[in-house]
Order: sequence, then structure tokens, then C-alpha cells
Amino acid sequence: MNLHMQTGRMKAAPLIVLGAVFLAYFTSDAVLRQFVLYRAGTQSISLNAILDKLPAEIRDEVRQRILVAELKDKLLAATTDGEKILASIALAEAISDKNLQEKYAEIIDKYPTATESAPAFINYLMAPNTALKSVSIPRYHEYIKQLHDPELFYAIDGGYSTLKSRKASQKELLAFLLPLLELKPTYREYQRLYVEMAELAFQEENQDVELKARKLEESCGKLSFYDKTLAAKVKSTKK
Amino acid sequence: MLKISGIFEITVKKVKEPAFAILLVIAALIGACVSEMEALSFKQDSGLLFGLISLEQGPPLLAGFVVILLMTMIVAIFSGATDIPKDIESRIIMVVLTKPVKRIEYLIGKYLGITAICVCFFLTAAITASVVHWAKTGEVYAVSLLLRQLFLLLALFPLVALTIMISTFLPDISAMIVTATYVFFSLMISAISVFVDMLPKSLEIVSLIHVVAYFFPNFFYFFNSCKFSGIVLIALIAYSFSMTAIFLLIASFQMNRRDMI
Repeated sequence: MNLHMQTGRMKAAPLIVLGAVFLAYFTSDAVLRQFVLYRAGTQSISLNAILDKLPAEIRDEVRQRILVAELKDKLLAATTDGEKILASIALAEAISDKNLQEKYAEIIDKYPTATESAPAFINYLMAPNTALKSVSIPRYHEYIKQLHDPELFYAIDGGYSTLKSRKASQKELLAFLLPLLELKPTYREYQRLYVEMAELAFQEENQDVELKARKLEESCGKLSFYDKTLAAKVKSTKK
Repeated sequence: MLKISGIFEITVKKVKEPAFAILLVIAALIGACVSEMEALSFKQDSGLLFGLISLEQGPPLLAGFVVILLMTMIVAIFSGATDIPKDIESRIIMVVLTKPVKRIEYLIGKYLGITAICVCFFLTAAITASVVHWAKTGEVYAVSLLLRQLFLLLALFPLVALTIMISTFLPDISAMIVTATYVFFSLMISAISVFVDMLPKSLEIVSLIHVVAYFFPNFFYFFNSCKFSGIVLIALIAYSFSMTAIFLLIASFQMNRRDMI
């Protein structure tokens, strides 16, 4: 029995030594690698400076691949839904336009209420039948209900621009801007949208809407621009 | 242990040969020639490799000592690659192995002997360089600066083991060529692997390069400038010795497997 155990120990010893040696090798390599990277970081050895040395023919492709990989890392590191949406949009945009369209469609299905989903809704607002998805104006209104400024302004402004680029009718454009009448504008930026709305209502002979829009347009004139408000906020925070 | 020291003694006996005395004179001459060389430094824009080995922290690496190390490496490759094949060719190994000496003990003894010769060469050149520097400038190297130069020896230990390992597979000349080529590739792969580390992890090539890099010792770690205290120094020593052990384990496996006739 003792002999048997001794033989077993003798067989196990080289394996233990081997394991210990490899463990020491991999651990020390990892520590030294991190140290070199830390040194490279503190001395700001820029990746771009190194990439600039590459031949012009392959530089752009390498840069593109690095960008995609960086965005993939960002996506993996994202924890909140908002971060995931923003990272996945940026990644899809870097890959191809087709990929971006697919991602937008996926975001609308997966995150229908997230603030960060706005670019996806804007992209598919009244999209043609050939597109992967189409968001109707009432569906868009439903979505913007949960938004707050400044995201709300950007969503309305972006949606309006999309409709114009799709050559939507005046009636559709006016219908799109109607929720603005229910709003209490907080920034001067809205003024432009109220001007457009008043003009559309005038052409559509909708006096009631036109009057309301003109009134709100006037009230917007007294407000400050979003940038100025933001700057004031930053200043007060600094104090 | 006694058997290992016996093999070690046989290997180191070369010191008594006139050829070794000439080698030491050469080492001293090299030391004297490089004693005036400045600290090793590279501009960040002087290339991918050297941008990463800029030397701003801790005692600097002296260019003269790097030259000494390179010369020692040549000695290491030469003696490491020839010793065992010569023993096999002259059948001395048969005489040794008919005694109660295990092949692994023979291998360790040989390794320690060759390492001792290389260390002797390095120290002779280093001491001469320091003395000549003092004689010419009146300045004595600081202890920390000298210690930093001595840490270069850590690169030598795995190199000797690597050469011995290759010499157990190949005859002497081929072993020398293969070792030199392997070291050259190691430097290339190490540089690429450090560069790749700066890239995002999701890049497919990153993991592939990392896997390949594990098969080559990263000699850049030994040239990296730092204060060499704490975990980095421990990691550097562990890296050197673990690599040495891996090479010797492979060599031992081959020694046990191969026919000595």
C-alpha cells in the first residue's frame, strides 16, 4: 500500500512542478504586460502615431477595424439600456449602412420607450414600404410622450426634418407638429418649429391652430436658447 | 545535488583552457570600449518597438551594458549550442551516463556550468567598464544604476536554457542558427504583441497574436526601464526563471527520449 502511494506521489510531483512553472510563467507575463501597457499609457504613446507609420493603402482599413473593435468593447462594457443603445448604434454605423438600418429596426422593437431610441424612430418615421420598418405619426407621438427636453426638442425637430426629406404632405407635416400645442416651450429653439407650424396651418386654413402657434411662437421669443441655459447651469455648478 | 555539481565542475573546467582566458580578455576589452557609452534612450517617433522602451523612470539602462549583454548572448548561444552535441559526438556523455547520474542531473549541471561561464564573461566586462569609467571620469556608478544593469542577466538565464534545449534536438551548428533565428523572431513577436495590446480587445487578431506570443520569450520586458521594486521585479524574476524551467523541462524530455549513440 505504501509503495503504491509512493509511486502515485512520484508520478504527481512532476505534474505539480509543471503546473507551478506554467502558472508562474503566465502570471508573471500578465503582470509585466500590464506594466508595459501602463508605461505606454503614461507616456502617451498614441496609437494614432503608430498607425500613421503604416502604408497609406492599408491605414484606413486598419483604422476602420480598430474603430469597430473599440466600439465592440464599448458595447460589451455597456451596463444600462441607454449605453447599450448608443454603443450599438455607433457600432452599426461604423460597420455599414445596411447594418445600421437593421440595428435601428431592432432597437424600435427591443427598446420602444428608451430616450436613446430616438434616432431609430426618426430614421423609420413614415419610411417607405421597401424599408425594414415604418413608424406612423401617431406611433411617433406615442413615443415622444415620455421624452423631456432637450431630447424632446431633438426628437420633434429630427422627425420633422425626416418628414420633409420624405416629401410628406403639408397636412402630414402639420399633423406631426400638433403635439407642440400641448407643450409649454422651455427654450428659444422651439420658436422655429412654431413658425413652421403657423405657416402650415395658414396654408391648410386652420385658423385655430395658426393662432395658437403664433401665440406660442411669441412666448418663445422671450426664452433663452438651450445652449445659454446649459452654460449658466454649468457656471452655477462650478461656483 | 553532488552529481549536478560534478557535471557543473566538468563544464566550468573550460575556464582553465587558454581559449577561455582569451575570451575573458575580449570581455575586458569590450568593457573598456563601451565604458563611455551613455544611457540607452530612444525617441518616441523612432519606431514602434523603441517608442515603448523609452527610458524615463528609475535608473537608466546604459547602452554599454546592453552591448555587453549582446556579446554575452553570443557566447551563450555558442557554448550552449555546442556543449551537449559535442559530448554526444565524442561519446563523453556515454561515460557520464554510465555512472549513477540521471539525464536531468546532467542537463542541470550543464546548464549551470554554461550559465556560470556567461555570467563570468558578463561580470568581467561589466567590472572593466565600471573601472574604466571611474578611471576616465572619476565618477563611480551608483549602486542602483549598477543593479539595474545586473538585472540584464535575467535575460541570459532563459537564453542559455533555450540554447541547450535546441541543442538536444539538433547538432551544434544547426542549434546555433535555430537559436539565433528563434531569438530574432521572439523580438519581433514581442514587439507585435506589445503593439497589439494597445488595440481594442475585440479585434480578432489580438487573441491570436497573444497565443502565438506565449511560444516566444518576450525579451523586451528585460529592457523596460522602471524602478524595479515590488511586484514588477518579482514578476521579472519569476518570468525569467519560469521560462528557464520550461525550456529545461523540454530539454529533459528530449534527453530522456533520444538515443545517445
